[in-house]
Amino acid sequence: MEPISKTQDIKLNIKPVIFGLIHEYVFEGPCRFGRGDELTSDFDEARTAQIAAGWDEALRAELGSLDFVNVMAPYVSKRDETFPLTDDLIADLCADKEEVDLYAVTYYPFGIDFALQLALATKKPVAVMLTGSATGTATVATLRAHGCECLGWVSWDEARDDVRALLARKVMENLRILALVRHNSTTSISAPDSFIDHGAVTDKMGIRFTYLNMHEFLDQTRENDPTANPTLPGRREGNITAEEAREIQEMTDELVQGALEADMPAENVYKSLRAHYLTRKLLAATGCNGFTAPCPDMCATRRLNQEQFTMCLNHSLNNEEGICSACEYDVSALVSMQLLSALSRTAPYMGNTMIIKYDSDSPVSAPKSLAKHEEAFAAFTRAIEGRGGIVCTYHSTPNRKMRGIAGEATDYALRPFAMDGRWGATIRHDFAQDAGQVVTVARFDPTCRKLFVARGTIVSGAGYHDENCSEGVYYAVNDIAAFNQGSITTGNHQALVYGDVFDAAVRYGELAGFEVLTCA
Amino acid sequence: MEFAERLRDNLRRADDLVPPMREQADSLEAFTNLLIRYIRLRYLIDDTSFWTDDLRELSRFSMEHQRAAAGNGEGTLQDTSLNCAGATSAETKQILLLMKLRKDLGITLSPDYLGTARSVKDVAQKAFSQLSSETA
Repeated sequence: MEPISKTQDIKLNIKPVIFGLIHEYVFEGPCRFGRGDELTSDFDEARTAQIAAGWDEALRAELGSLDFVNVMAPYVSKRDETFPLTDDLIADLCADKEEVDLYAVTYYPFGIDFALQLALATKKPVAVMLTGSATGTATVATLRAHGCECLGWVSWDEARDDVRALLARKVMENLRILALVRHNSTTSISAPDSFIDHGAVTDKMGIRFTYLNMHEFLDQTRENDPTANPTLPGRREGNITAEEAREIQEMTDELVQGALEADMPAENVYKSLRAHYLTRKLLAATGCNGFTAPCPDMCATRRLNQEQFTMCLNHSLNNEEGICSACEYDVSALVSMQLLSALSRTAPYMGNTMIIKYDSDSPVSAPKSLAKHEEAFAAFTRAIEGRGGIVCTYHSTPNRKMRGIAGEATDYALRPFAMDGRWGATIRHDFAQDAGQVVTVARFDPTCRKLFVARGTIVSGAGYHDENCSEGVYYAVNDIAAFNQGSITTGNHQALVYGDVFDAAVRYGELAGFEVLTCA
Repeated sequence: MEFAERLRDNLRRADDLVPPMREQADSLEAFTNLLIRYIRLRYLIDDTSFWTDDLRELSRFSMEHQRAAAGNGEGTLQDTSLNCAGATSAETKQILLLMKLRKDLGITLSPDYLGTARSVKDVAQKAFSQLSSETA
């Protein structure tokens, strides 16, 4: 199988730039003063080198320690006091602009004129540290006045949030979504609150789409002659081969054996994995790295009933492998998952999201299926007793890498989606065991103009012991009215990740030109 | 002893160490010991037991030690000089120390090195090897 170009592998390239000044002559004046050796060009050169080394060292220590950051070799400018600004100098400064994502600039002591040319010529963001630097302040004001993107940092914490946000913006530009369609390529029956114009999404974020007819997909899940698919007669397609079937069987054995409970026939797990395997093949073949497929629209064809799988396990496994994958052809949810996953470096989750307890004395509006498992329901009841601001996000597509894609897989059970037929494998994760975990929640609105970001803390979970889509996480938010406003503005399926990337997500929204609604 | 008087005395005693460093140090170890005394005197830290091989640390400590000795209560302020270069006194101090050493010994140290040198031992090694090759 061809490799998939995963967004988790994308790095943010930061170029340190130091604008130095080497006076040719010894003199004093209104902007130069000192004693003895301090007025020599050697001192200026030494001081420029000192600043360059300090800036490079700080960037590597404070930002280079992030696994997605690559601090490039620094550029050190040594202009004299005639302040030349020739085309050759600018070209030299911008030589590797294609690789650079962010220029991190500092000075000894002048050079905003040069920084402006850098920003204008490359159209890349420029960042400066503001603390103790009047030149930094002037840089931001100058570059922004010329329409350039310039970030001013007052702390390294703020810088790290910005760097995460810039990474997310780069990730979005490289997100290529493979979208299975039935009736049309914009909305599905169950997610009309997804983006209403994919062209606007491409224009704003650089995300591109490849659409594939779901019947063509379903035909290829069969281990048939690849030239004899009913939807594509005579074309050689990517049907599962005998060799691939053996590999899928090995994957099935491993998944079933690794589960704490596997409450469905292994041959039906195999069928779900076959759909996942085909998805991976098609992602590689189309150069895509994100996936979504409709749910009720596919369901209504009865072909899933015929083939005996759902897309749930496929979504779970894609997500934990670093390929964001959303239910119900909800592209807004998918892009929101990608945003949060890029920021948190964890595998995302998404689902129906609803307020289940508004105030501490409100009635609980939890799905009825929650009460099926007596012990879990009792624990849930205790967890939310006397509390308000409780929200749940609910789908049977959690995964085993929500604590980190590079980390250990968490415990899981396998249960079916189809209760009668015992097919449609789903990962069951016991969210209740994660009580106290901070989560970040987000969703883009249907017009692709607004972004909602919320912070919550897990209080309980449900559905580990259950089947079907009755699995979810319950979390408390600090401002339920703000959460409500954010939800109704953006839509149902909220994306969710473990970890607090609230600030970075808000920053992404600002940098990418979204109106940001928050629930901190 | 008044501060100004002590400063003059230290600088004179540091200057006195230059001929032995140039002409009499017959080993890197002996040279390094002289260089350490030279730095302690020029940095006015000869009245403490503090020592580290890290030039930046030494420069910072020298500034703090002098400020504490002066007792003006500015110890908690970040020392950023108000000239356009934005250099702290400690940063300037390191460059000026190495420029003075370069002049005193007649050795070659590049401007880049003056600004980025980290280790006294490394400076000693560079200086001693140049002086040794001159006398060989």
